Amino acid sequence: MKKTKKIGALYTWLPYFGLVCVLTLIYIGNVHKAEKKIRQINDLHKEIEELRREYIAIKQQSMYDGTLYQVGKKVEGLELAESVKIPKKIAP
Amino acid sequence: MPGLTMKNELLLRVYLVLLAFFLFAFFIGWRIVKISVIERDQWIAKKEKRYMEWRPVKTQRGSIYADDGESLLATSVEFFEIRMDPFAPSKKDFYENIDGLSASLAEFPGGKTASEWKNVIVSARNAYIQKKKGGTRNLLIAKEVDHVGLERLKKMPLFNLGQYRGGMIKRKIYVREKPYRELASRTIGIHRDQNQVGLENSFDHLLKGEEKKMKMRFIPPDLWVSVYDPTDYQIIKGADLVTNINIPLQDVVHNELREGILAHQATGGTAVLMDVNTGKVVAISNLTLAKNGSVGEYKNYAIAEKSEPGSTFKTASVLALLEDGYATSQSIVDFSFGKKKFYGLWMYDSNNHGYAKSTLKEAFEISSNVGIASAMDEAYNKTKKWSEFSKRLRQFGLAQKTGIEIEGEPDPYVKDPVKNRKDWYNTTIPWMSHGYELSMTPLQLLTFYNAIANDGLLMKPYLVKEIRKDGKVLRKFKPESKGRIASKENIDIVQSMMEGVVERGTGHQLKSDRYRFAGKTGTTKVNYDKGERNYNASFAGFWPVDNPRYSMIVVIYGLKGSVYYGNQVAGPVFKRIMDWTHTLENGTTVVNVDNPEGVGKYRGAVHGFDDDFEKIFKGVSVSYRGEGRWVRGDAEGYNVVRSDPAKISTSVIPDVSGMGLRDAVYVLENLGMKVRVEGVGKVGRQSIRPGIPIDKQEIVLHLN
Repeated sequence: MKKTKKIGALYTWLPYFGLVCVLTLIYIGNVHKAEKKIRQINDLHKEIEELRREYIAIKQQSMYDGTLYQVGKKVEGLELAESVKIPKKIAP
Repeated sequence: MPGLTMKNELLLRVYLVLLAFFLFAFFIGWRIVKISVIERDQWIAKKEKRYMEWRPVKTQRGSIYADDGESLLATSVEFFEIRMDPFAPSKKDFYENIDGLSASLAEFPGGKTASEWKNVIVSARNAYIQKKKGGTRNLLIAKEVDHVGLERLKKMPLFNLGQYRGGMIKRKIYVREKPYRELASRTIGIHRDQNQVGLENSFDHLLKGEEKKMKMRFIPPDLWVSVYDPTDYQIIKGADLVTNINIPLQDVVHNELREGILAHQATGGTAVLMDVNTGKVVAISNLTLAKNGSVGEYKNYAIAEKSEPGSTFKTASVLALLEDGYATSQSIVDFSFGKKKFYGLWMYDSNNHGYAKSTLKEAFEISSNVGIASAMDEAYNKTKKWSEFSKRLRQFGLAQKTGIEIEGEPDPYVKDPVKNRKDWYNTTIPWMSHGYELSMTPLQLLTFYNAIANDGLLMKPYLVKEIRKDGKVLRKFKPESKGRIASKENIDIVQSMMEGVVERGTGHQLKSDRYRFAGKTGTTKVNYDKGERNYNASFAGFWPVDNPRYSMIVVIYGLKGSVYYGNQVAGPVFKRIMDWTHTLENGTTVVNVDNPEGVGKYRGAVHGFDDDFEKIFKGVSVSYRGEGRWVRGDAEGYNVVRSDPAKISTSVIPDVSGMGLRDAVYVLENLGMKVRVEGVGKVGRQSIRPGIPIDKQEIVLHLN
C-alpha cells in the first residue's frame, strides 16, 4: 500500500519535472539563438563599415574629380577654355 | 541449484551495475557540491577574469567638413593591417605552402617579388627559431588592406589553414583620409600618435570622443558583448568639425598659388583668403616646392612662419601718420630722388621715379621707401615720439597673436622703444616704416588688412564655425571683433590709397576691367647681410573696392631668379585668384525673365555633330543623351544635356543656327551649296530660310 502511494507521488511530480526539462532546453536554445543574433548584428555592422568605406572612396574620387582644376586637366586636349564670363541664371 | 546459482549470479551483476550507478551518481553529486559550494568563489573569479572584462568601447574619430557641412575634408575609414607569425604553422605546413604563399603575395600590391617574399618570411622564421636578430612572430605583410583584400589574403595558401595553423594576424586600424588630398592639407592637419598638427591637433579632444569602459562578456571565439545589453552594438563617435573652408575657392587658391610657385621656382608660398565682415578663413594654402619638383603642403607658413613683411607694412605706417595727425594724404614728403642717407645708412627706392618731393599718397602708391621713411622720420624719430608709433601698432593689432585655432602661432616681433631699448637705433623707425626690423606671420598681417577692408573693425580670424555631434550642433562659433583700429575717415583714405596702387601705382599692370580691387605690393630682401640673392614677394589687398567681401594675402618665398618683385610674382597670383573669386561669387546673378538680357543668344547653343558632344560631355563628366547624327540640345537640370535629332534633309535648306562654323559649312557644302561667312563665332542667322528647296544657291551665314 505504502509503496504504491510513493510511486503515485512520483507520477504526480513527473510532469513538472518534464516541464522543467523542456524549459531548460528552451532556455539553452534561446541562449544560442541570442548569440547567433548578436553575431549577425556584429556582421551587419562590419558590412556597414565596409559599405561606408566604399562610399567614401567613391565619393572622394568624384568630389576630387569635380573640382575646377581637375576638370580642366581632363578636358585639356579638347581645346576648351575656362570661361571667365559670369554665368547667368534665369529667375524662375 | 544451478538455477539458484544463475539467479544469484544475475543478482550479483545487477547489484554491481547498481553500485556503479550509485558511485557515478555520488561522484557527480560530489562534483556539484565541490564546484558550486566549496570552490564557488574561485570559479566565479575565474569566470570574471576570463569571460568578463571592463573593456574600452570602440571609438570612431569625428570628421572634418568644409563650409557646406557635406564635403569631407578629413574622415576615418576602417582598414586592416595584416601581419604574420611565421613560427605558428608547423614545419610541414610551412614548407609545403611557403612557395604558394609567396607567389600569391607577389600578386598582392606590396611591391615584392615571390622570391623576395619567400626570403623575408623564411628568414624571419629561422631567425626566430635560432633566437637571432630579425626574428619575429609579428611580420608585417600589408598595411591598409580593405575587406576585399582581406578575403583574398585569407584564401592564400597557408593562410587558408585557419587562424591558428596558418599564422595570419589581422588587426583593425582606422586610417585618416583626406578626400581633397592636398587642399588645405596642412591646416586640416595630421592625426597621429605624436606631433599632431593643424585642426586635428587643436580639436583632438573633441574629435576623438570621450573614452568609456564597459563591462563586457566574452563569447568564444572572438566576440565581446555588453553584459547589460548584449544586442547593443556600442561605438562612440567623436564630434565633427565644420570649418569655414570653401572648396571651390580653396581649389582656386591652391592651384593658382601652385602655378605661381612653379613658374618662379620659389621655395614655397602661402595664400590666405578671408571673409571681410566675419574674419572667416575661407581658403588657406601653404605650399612648398620639394627637391623632386613636386609641390605639397608641408609647412604652415601662413600661421607659423614669421618674416619681415617689407612694403606691405607701409600701410600701417601711413595709417599711423594719419591717425596721429602728422600727415594727410596730400602732405608733401621728401623723396630725395630715391636715395637718402638716414643716420649713416643708405636707403634706396627700387624704382627710378626721379622725384625730389611728392605727396604721401604718391609715396605709398609707387612704394617709395625713402618717401615713407622721411615722413615717419619727421613725425616720430626726430621728435623721439617712438612710443606713439608703438602704441598705434598695438592698436592696429599688429603686436599680438591673432588667436587662430591652430597651435604654433608665434608672437609677432615688433620692437618696443621701452622694452627693446637696447635694440632701438636711430635707424629703427625709418626701416620699420617699410617693413624691416620687425617680423610677423602672413596671417597676422592679413588680419590688419582685413580690418582696413572692414572699415576699421578688427576681426579675429577663425577656421571652425561649428562643432556637431550626431547631426546636432554642439557649439557654434560666432565672429569675434577686437575693436576698431582707426577712424572711419582715415580708413577711407588708406582704402583709396590702396586702390591707387592698383590704378596707377606699383600694381597697375594687375588692374582689371571687370572689377575693382585694392592692395599693396611688397618685396623683401631676405638675408641681406649675407649678400645672397633671396627675396620674398607679397601682395595683400581686398576685393571689391565698394563693399569689400574678401581680403587676401599672397606671399611667395625664396625667389632667387631675376623676377622677384611683389607685383610680378605675388600680384599675378592674387589677381588670378580674384578673377575666379569674382566669377564664382557672382555666379548666381539672376536674369529677369521679362527682360532676359543676352539669354536668347544662347538658345540652341548645343547644335552639331553628335559624336563631338558625346566626347566633350564625357570629358567633363556630364551625362549626355543624344539621338541621331546631328543634334540640337538643351540643358536639362544641373548637369544633364538632352538632345533631339536635328533634321537635316537633303532636299530642303536645313536650319544651321547654333552650329559651329565648321559643322555648318560641312553640312551645307555637302548639299551642294556655296557658303559665304560674315563675323566670328557660332551661326546666328542664315540668309536663306530653312525649308526652301535646295538649288545650288549661295547662302550667307552671319556669325555672332
